[in-house]
Formats: sequence, C-alpha cells, structure tokens
Amino acid sequence: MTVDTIWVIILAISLLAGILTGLPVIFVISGVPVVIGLVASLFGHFDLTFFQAAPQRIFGVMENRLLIAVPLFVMMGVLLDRSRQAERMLTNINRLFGSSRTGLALSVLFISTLIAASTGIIGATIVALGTISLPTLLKAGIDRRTASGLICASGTLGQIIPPSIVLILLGDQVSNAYIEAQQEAGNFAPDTVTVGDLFAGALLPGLLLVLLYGIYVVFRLRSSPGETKQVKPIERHEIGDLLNGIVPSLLLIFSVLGSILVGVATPTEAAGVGVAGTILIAAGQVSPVSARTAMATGALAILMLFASIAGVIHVDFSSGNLEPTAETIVTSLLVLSLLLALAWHAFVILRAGILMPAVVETLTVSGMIFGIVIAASILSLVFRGFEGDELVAHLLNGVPGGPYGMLAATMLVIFLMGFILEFVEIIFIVIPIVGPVILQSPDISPVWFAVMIAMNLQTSFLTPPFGFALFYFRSVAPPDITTATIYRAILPFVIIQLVAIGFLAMVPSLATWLPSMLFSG
Amino acid sequence: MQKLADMLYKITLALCIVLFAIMFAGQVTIVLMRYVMHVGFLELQDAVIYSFSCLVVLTIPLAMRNNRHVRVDIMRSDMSEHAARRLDKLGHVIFTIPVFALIARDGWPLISSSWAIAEGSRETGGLPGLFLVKATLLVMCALILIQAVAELIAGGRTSSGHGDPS
Repeated sequence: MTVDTIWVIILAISLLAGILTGLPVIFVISGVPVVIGLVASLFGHFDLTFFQAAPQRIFGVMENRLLIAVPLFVMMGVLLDRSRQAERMLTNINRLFGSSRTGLALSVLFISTLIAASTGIIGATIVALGTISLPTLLKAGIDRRTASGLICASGTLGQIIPPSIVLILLGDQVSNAYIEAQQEAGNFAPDTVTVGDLFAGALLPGLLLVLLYGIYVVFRLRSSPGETKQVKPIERHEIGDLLNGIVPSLLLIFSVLGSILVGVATPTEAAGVGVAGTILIAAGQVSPVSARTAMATGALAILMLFASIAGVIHVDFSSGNLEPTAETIVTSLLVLSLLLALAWHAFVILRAGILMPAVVETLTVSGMIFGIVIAASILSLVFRGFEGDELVAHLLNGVPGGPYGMLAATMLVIFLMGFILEFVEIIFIVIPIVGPVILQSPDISPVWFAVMIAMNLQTSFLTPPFGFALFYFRSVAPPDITTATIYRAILPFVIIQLVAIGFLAMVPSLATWLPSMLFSG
Repeated sequence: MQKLADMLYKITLALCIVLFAIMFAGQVTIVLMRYVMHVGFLELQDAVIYSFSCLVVLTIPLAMRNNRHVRVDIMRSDMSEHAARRLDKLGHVIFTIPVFALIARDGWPLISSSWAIAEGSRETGGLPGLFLVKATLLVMCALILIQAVAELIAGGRTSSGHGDPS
C-alpha cells in the first residue's frame, strides 16, 4: 500500500465522518480535503501547489454556459409551485374522479407526471399531492399503503422525467468524463454527449416507470369491491376548469421539452422560455383580466414564431447592422411589445406578492447547488493530488466482469451513497472519478450510463430510512399513517424501480434509441 | 460584526436579484431575437453569461446566511441546540475559514493580473468588464469569511445567554 493510498483512505473516512456531523456539506467536502492536504504537506506527501488550481476551477464553473439552465429551471419550478397551478389541477381532478377509485389513482399519477415534467421539485410535488390528493384518495376507499406509496413514488418522477436538473448536471459531468475517457482510449474526436441527448434518453425510461406504477395501482385496486359509478354528472364548467389547469401546463412542457428534443433550442434557451411561460401562467391565476392578457401574450408569441418561420416577418440584417426598413421596424416593434407584455405580467405577479419570494428562493436553491459544485471541485483536486483517480481505476479494473462489472459496482456504490447524500453531491463526486474509466469501454453508451445513474439517484429518494421523499410525505401525512406504514407502502415501488433499472440494464436501447433517432442527422 | 453581516446580506441579495433579472430578461431577448428576427448580439450573450457567473459565487453566501446549505441531519437531530451551535462554530474554524482564505489567497494573483489588463470578453465585439466578474470570487470569499466570523461572535453571545441560569 503506497503512502498516497493511505491518505486517500484517511480522506474518505474523514469525509464520511464530517458529513455525518451534520455540518453543511459544502464546508465538509471542501474543508476536509483542504485540512488533510495541509497536514499531508507537513509530511511532504502533498504538493500545496495543487490548491492553486482551485480558483481556476471555480472560474470554469462560472463560465459554464450549460449551467445557466439550472437557476432558470429552478425558477420555473418554484414559480409554478408558488402560483398554485399544481393545486388547482389536483383539486379539479379530485372533483371529477372523486368517486372512481382506479380513475382517481390513475389521474393523480397522470397529473404528477405533468408536474414532474414541469417543475421537478420533489418536496413541493409531494407536499401538494399529500395535502390535496391524499385525503381524496383515502375518502375514495383506497388503502393507506397504496395511496402513500403512489404519492411518494410519483413525487420523485421529476428527477427522471425531463427537463430535470439532475439530467443537466449529469449531462455536464458525463460529457466531460466521456471526452476524457475517449482520449485515454485513443479516440481524439469523440462524439459529444449533450444535455439534449440525456433528456431524450431519459424520456422513455421515465414513461416506463409511470406505466409500471400505473399497472401496479390497477393491480392493487382490481380486487377492491365494485366501484361506485359516477354519482353526480360532470358539469361543463368543471371540465373547463380542468382544461384551464392542464392545457397551459401541457403547452409549456411541450414547448420547453419539444424545442430541446427536436434540437432547435439549447436547454438554456428553452429554460428561458420556460420561465417566461411560467410567468404568464402564474399571472393568469391572479385575476380574470390578467388571465386573458396572459393568454393573448402567449398567443402572440406563438404567432410571431410561426410568422417568422413562414417568412412573413423578418428583419434586414444583411449589412451587419439593422437596416431601418419598414419590415425591420414592424418586427422589432412586435418583439419589443412582446417583451413589454412579459414585463407587465412579471409586474402583475410582483404586485401579487408571488415574484419576489420566488426569486429569493431560486437564488437560495441555486446557491445550494453551486456551493456543492464548487466544493466538489476542490475535493476532486485533492483526490487527484493523492492519485486517488489511479487508485479507483485500479480498483475498478479489478472488478470481475469487465466494463459491466465496473458499472454494476458503481451503481451499487451510488445506491448506497443515496442513503445519506443528495444527488448533486453524488453526481459531482462519483462521475469525475469513475466516468473516465468506465466510459473508455466502447460497449458502454454514455447516455445509457447517465440514465441508469439518474434512475438510481431517483430511487435513492424513496429508500427508507433517509429517502427525502419519505421525509416530505411524513411532514404532511396525518398521524394515523405511521412511519412504518410509509416504509411498507414504499417497498413495492422500490421494487418497481429496481425492476425498471434491471430492464434498462438489459435493454440499453430504451435509453439510446430516442436520442439516436432525434439527433442522428 | 452582526450588523455588518446583515447589511452585506441585504446588498448581496439586492445585487443578485438584479443580476437574475438581467440574466433572465437577456436570455428571453436572445431567444426572441434569434428565433423571430434571426439576429444575435454578442454583447447580450456576454451580459447573460457575466450575470450568471456572478450569481454562481454570490448566491453561495446567500444560502449560507439563510442556513440553507445541505446538511445530513442524521445525528444532528439528536443534538441539543447548544451542542449543534458549538459544532457549527468548530466547523467554521477548521473548515470554512481555511478553505475560503485559501481560495482568496490563490485567486488573488489571477484576479489582480486580470485587473491589470482590464480583461474583457474573449469574443471580439463582446462586453468589456470580465475583470469585474472574476473579482466576485474574492467578494464571495470575503462575504463567507465575514459571515463565519459574525456567527462565531454572535453564536458565542447567544449560547452564553442560553447558558445555565445559576
């Protein structure tokens, strides 16, 4: 055992101990390596010049354009949450399907999928489902275990169904690791892996999960005594309310996800549009007048896009400067008026007291994420200083089963880490260490690798005792649903997750087919 | 010290809100101009990236001040409030202060050389002022160090206030 190996072991043990003290993870994963590096340098075992690269690495994070999408998607989720759009949809669903057990359960699953695709915030989704849908589910005669399990599990779908922040961060790390791995393997011009690839790759596995949840729920409820028929007829305005809740969300999801998946927009551009659309949706909830103006603004934006594609409006930019032709002026005025309309709706939700708290929350959540990203970059500096990367490569190469064995070992480690750590820490610590080794194998597709990890991380939110989804659900569930009930309720869903991961492991094309279809050209 | 930290928090928060607004408005304008007018401006692109760069580092002290950085609460939930606060202070002394002092020390030469040439955008025709953006790294270190010291001092006062009444 070399001196470096001993220091890596000390580093790993100290990190675990430090994290368990409950100090903020950002200070532990940056502080422990710094302290150990300083101590090791006293023995002449560590070169302090390694630390000089730290500011450069932080500049690297600051200049990473891909990450601009992170605060924007956070904002989209927070704003949708604050605008109570999710609550409205769930309440309407309750009114419509309240008397049909399976129908109610499946519609809760459907709405959760929508919320997952649009917000991706686990805590908010579970709290909304727990407070609004849980009482209705129980009243309809669905047993506590099925109802609790369904809510916890569908609340985590936001992690895997794109657009999701997990996939953006994974995209960043996996593409770096893939390039490094391919260069190591002698391929100096590898295809790049984009966030768009991961979004496309995660879509089918995510929908597979929804399907499996649905099958399980139908199976659980099949034997329940005869379903009562709709007692009261559905009134027209109720359907209208429901559509009013669902249609804008659907439009938003399709425009954001669609523009990324067809390769038109970058994730950052789509996230910007997503926030703009969310501002309109939120403003539409404030008053009937703003609902109409918000709809008009949205319609204007869509019309302008089509007009531009059809060539009806365009600007003269041939000389490198805007030529003040009539068309240029009209188009510029249209764009300007759209921006002003957007600003006006932002002002509407500012006055309604929604915007400011949402921005502050967005900044705080972004700070949490960026803090971990920067701290993890310091950790990986020190880790490499002790040649920990070579140690891990050596260990992984010793795992039987070649690349698949390495992948299985990595999945197991991530699954175990998921019991105590959150996804940001896991992504930024594990991927830079194992990715460059595993992705050297031509058999392992980087998209498949990333989607497997995303699904694994999503599962970790459900595993007792420290699954975050369970914590959130516990905080809103009535006391007569015991913690033991929640643990038992989640078990079948954890098994479903493992089945889905196993299926994906055996059929990689589930993840790789859609990206290859969309982006082959 | 606490007052200074409070004031700095408010200034940082206000600055971050403005930067976020610039980033979002800039991004939406870029999208509209690109997909409707088919034009793009490097200056606007740079404004969005610069705002984002500052947000990356400046939101970290905000989250710290609001005590929102992720913790693993497995053992902490069993600790008394007093013990938890003492542990936090210990964490500042052995982790927070050394790490951010070190980053500031190592970042200093990079940033001062960036200031010396008033470094601007890498793209020709981009915005000047990249040196200001880079300097936010030092601002972050300063804010975190001040906040840590403020918590060390203030925490001491409150914990002695909570102390044994006899």
